[in-house]
Amino acid sequence: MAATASALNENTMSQRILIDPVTRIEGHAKVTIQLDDDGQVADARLHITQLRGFEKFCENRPFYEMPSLMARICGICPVSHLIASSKACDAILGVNIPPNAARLRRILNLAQILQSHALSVFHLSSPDLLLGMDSPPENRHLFGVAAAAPEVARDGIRLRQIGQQIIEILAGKRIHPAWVVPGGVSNALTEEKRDHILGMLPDGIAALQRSLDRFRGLFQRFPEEMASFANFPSLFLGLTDGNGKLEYYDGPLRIVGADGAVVADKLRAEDYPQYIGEVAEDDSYLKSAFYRPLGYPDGIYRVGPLARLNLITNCGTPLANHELGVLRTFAGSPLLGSFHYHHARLIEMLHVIERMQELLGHADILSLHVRAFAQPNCEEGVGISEAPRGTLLHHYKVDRNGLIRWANLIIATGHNNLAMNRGVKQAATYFVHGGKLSEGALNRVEAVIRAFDPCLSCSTHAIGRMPLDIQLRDAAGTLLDNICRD
Amino acid sequence: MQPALCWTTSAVISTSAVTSTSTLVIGYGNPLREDDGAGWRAAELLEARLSPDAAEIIQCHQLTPELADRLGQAWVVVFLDAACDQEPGVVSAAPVQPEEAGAWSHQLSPGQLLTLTKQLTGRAPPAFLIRGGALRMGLGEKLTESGERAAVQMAEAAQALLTGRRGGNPAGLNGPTSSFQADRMAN
Repeated sequence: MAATASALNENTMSQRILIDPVTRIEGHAKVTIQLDDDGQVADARLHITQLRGFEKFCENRPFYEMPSLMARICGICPVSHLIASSKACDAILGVNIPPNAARLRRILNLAQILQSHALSVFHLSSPDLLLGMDSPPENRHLFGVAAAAPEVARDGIRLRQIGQQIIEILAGKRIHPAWVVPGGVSNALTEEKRDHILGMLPDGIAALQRSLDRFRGLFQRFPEEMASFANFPSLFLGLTDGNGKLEYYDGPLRIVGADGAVVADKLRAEDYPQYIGEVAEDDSYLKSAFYRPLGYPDGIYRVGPLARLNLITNCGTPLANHELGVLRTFAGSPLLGSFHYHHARLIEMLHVIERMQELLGHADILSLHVRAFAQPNCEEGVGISEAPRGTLLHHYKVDRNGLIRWANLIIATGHNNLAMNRGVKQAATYFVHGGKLSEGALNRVEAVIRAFDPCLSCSTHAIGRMPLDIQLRDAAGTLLDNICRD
Repeated sequence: MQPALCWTTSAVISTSAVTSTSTLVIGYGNPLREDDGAGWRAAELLEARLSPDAAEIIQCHQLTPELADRLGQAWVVVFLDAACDQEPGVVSAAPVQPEEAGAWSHQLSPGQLLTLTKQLTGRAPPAFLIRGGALRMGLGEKLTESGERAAVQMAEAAQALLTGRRGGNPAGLNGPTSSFQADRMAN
């Protein structure tokens, strides 16, 4: 997929650049860059151009269908929706699921994070990192990486394969599995399956250690990108285990500020309307979430791998914790630059494998008690978990027959929308000059979005491929330059 | 419409049976979309026809980079897929050649997967694509009548390809030395 650029009004000082579509992200988007009369970037906006509407068409469906319905939101992270949705349904049932069901759900979620992060780092972003932001666009893809550094491509593919195979072993299939159900999971883990999964994990750790050795050096070749890719103060939000360690399945939410100080802690998911607000913008189908006490847009915050590492004191597993120390020594803490999302993903991948090893070694992991049964006991339920891209929240209301009357989903990419927009503007201001958008600048504007690894199919709840579009407009709104990929 | 078997290639298959487990068969498509599931169905039918260790048979929605590892270990690969661009029920077969890379890695063509396999493992096995013409790809887990007939013929064609039997239209399985045969000889 090659970019094409056309100057629409070369003799106008104030211009608009359009990038449409943005490539190597999950979903459809475009970027508009507005220039002032001096040809400098005045504003930049990320527009999400797809609409889905899962919250509406699930109305009147039985609540117990929700996990399978909501998993269809995304082919990349269906497990995340399956888990958040099932947790919301657990709340509607009013049950505490068996501890071993929670363990098994945790493992499934960790496997999901592993495969999704591998996709983001190796398939989507490693072409920029290995081949360079200014390398020919026709080479910037996984095949280009495989040609230039086959060992990196092999490790990336293997890591994704491990995550997907674990999902398949546990849940029956890697895409849209139905194993996670309201009340727990449908089947216990067998000894054979446990041993099969455990047998794959050392391979994953070795691949990650090789990758970290490689990428640590690569990251340092991008000082400008570190400085300009959504590098600004903001809040950070995510789950913690209550003791300052990484947590993906359950626990209280924490918010920290740009100085690392805790702004709010031990927040309950079901109270989210008190501290999270959402705004619908005119130019995008993606809502923007904000921290309600600070209002819109000052309540800007980030979620996902970078945020999760900023929330904790340590990872809770030795190898990941060591690598977190390396990153903090190099880049400080909290990490404000979104370029570090990539490094954070690699650290999280290491952590999730270590964590899966711990969970699979638990004395009760083969327990057959994996599901609680009940009728609906509550009219409302909120489910929360950490998806690969950040905090995922499902909120349902049902009638006395258990039919869905109302649903609200807050997706990681929605939490990050304000930060992505500010990041696009920051990168455009840094790299776009003279009213023209070079190929390298185009790629960097896209790359700042890729750093967040947005999942637009998830966040707007859209069919189809994912593309992007960058527009350069003058002060009067005239389209001057438009770069599209199709 | 009666299905027809139309060999679009003249690949020669060794007359000795391929019994190694390194034989890989990949049936792909969307089984929730009527005849798009013909590749899956053909894989099922083929599995029933072959001895248990004759081949590794995979069903998947799309060809993804993760399959490169398995292709790299395979002696020969047969892809089974539904086709929108040929008459419903018509079955065709052709050797797969490595293709130029594309920007997308969510789903690959058989040729792109071969290219990636070669890049990552140093070799690409000989591969064949057997396609069955689809009548409809609407919502539904059941194949149409012609889709089912195509799946049966796809399985027969794959079996013939792997065992060296000259079923269906015999013309297609005769001819000069194929890359598959050359590869086998080299091994």
